[in-house]
Amino acid sequence: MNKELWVKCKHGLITTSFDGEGTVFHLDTRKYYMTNETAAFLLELLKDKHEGLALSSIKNMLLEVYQINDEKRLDDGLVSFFHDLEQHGLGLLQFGNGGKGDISVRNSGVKTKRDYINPKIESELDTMLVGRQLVDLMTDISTASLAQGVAEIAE
Amino acid sequence: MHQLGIETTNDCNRNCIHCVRDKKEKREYLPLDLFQRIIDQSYDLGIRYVSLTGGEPTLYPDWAELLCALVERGLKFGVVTNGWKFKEKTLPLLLNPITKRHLVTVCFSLDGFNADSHDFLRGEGSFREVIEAANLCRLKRIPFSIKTVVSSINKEELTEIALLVSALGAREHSFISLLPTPRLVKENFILTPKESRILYSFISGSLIPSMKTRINLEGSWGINSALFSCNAYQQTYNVDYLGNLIFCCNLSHVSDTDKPATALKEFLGDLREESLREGIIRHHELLAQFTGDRLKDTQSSSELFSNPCYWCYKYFGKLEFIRKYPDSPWVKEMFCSEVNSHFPFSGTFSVSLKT
Repeated sequence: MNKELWVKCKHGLITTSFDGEGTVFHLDTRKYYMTNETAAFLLELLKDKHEGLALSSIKNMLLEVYQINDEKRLDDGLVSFFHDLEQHGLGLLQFGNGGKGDISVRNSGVKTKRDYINPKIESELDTMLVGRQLVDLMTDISTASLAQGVAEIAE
Repeated sequence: MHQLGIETTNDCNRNCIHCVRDKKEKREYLPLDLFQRIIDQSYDLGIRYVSLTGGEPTLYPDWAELLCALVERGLKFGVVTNGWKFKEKTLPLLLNPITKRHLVTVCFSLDGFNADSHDFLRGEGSFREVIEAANLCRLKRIPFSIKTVVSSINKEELTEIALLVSALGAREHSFISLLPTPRLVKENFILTPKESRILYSFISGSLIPSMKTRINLEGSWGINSALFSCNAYQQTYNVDYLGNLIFCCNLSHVSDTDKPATALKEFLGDLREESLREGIIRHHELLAQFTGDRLKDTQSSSELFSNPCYWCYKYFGKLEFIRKYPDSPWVKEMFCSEVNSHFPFSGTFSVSLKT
């Protein structure tokens, strides 16, 4: 079985971006979110990809656009970002190829972001999840900025 | 405050099934120099607001120059658009700080609460296009409003549409009843008199008080007075894409005859040859005659009378075609006066509204 992580946006999301900012509108919940440039870039990548994309493909596309030295942190950042999307009901993070029979990461018992990061950072992120809107969340933990944030906290 | 409504073109990227326009018309654009002359004259007359419509106004070849001409003259403006290429073509222009200061609102057309219903009416991809455009306006703090054309197709969705509009953060939401043309009557797209009554009651009694977005009923649905107020002709002077001054934008180029626009009753002047001032004088002469004729009208049925746009359509000779459709519920309403005339202010309509 293919154990690669796949991500896809939930049905009913309308995403768009302009000049370094983006928006997400969830038609089912009628909620409106603003995103930073990186999050907008990731969401644009997933736009109209009904089957989703492999995390490795997304990573490669990010590496083409952004200069990122620490790939491990990038991995962590991506998993965190898409996990947060999932928590807000905006995305799905799955093992498999996005088709039938996929296993939700949340219920699979395999590693999630909580396994990728140390407890000290987890605690910080939990506070952010509870206390902030996605607009702030995405700004703070989207890929590159998350990598930076993790480094600061760890130090 | 008086304003100018200018159809910059009859061209449109969409092929909406509920469009009242004759889609076989040659695609034309109001010449830019004529546009500039007209807004110069309007400024001299004290008009400070211009609404750009179409067609789809953003298809205008010199779209940036059009907006620039308004801003240079210190005119406030609004745009009515279906959201076509908003991010690429219009948003960058509106984000210019000086232009943004002069913009009053971008009005988007939204006729369904999801892609299924909206795209059925306006074409594939149109729902996503307009939601994206509205979201970008919100992101960039550009004031926007929504206009919904109510037809037999979306009559059940008005609450859902209003909720969506509210969630999008629109400043205003207007409902306008679809006006009858031969094709729309034939295909049963227009509301029946009963539906129109019920929806008027629902929108005014339930939606307006409960939604945080300001909701308007354009065309004054359900009015029960001879003296109705209609912004489309009482406060707005309407220029069509050929440069003709027309009594009401909803009358512009809606005809089942082969007569040219200049031969129709709503025609007020050709601004290529005449001044805006002369046309506006004729506008007010026709308005006086129109208001008098409405006050004297003891022939129309109460249903027709309480739907001002329909009354106007009949007044301007645009409803004769409906006789060809004896099954249409409007036929009885339009022409019942020929067998049983009564003065329309008997109170029967207001009673039916309350029930």
